[in-house]
Amino acid sequence: MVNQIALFAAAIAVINVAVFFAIPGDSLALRSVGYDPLTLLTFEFVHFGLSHLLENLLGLLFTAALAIELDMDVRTFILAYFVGVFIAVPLLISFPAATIAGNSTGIFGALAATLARAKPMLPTRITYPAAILFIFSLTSYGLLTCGNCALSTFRADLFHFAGFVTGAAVSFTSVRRH
Amino acid sequence: MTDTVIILLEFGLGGAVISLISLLYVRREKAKLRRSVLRYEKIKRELGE
Repeated sequence: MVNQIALFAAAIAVINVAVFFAIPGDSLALRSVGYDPLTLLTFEFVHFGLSHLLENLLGLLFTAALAIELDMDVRTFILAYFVGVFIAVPLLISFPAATIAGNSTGIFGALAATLARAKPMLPTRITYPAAILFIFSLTSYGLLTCGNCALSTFRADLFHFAGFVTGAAVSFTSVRRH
Repeated sequence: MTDTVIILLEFGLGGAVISLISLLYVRREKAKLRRSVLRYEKIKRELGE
């Protein structure tokens, strides 16, 4: 029987690739000004450029593989992913005239929940700070090299951090429930 | 016209590195655990005989 987490990750990956090639451009991305309600559902599948798409596919693949290795509960994985994806929506309100695209906040959410599951082997006191350090590493690099351009990466890092924190919260409530 | 900021939600190499390292580490720990179980069962069999 095919693992359900593998099926979910494969379905998301197929939709991402299909949207990338079938509907190029930003028509399905979410805008804080003049937005179309439909884009609330579609922005996670939109990617600008091949590297954007490949990095998210790679992240989803590694995170799903880790979750499968840990025999993680599929409902917790999916919930952490979607809560991570949709935390980007209320955050967008604080950025006037901004457009968001991609599902990396969801992948960071799923990663946080998966790392919580790995706790007996990999303590979260090590993995969580390391992940947060990696999340903000681009901004730190930008601050050192180009000053003001770090602001644009910092915006994305804030979204990723929010996705990671909500994923950790989902895993915490899921552990308490069981 | 208002300038629009595009925020790319990109997992990035940092995210890929942390998930890949975690995956490899967990696989290694599970392999170690499997070897320990096999060793334990072998010793148990030998003592039984």
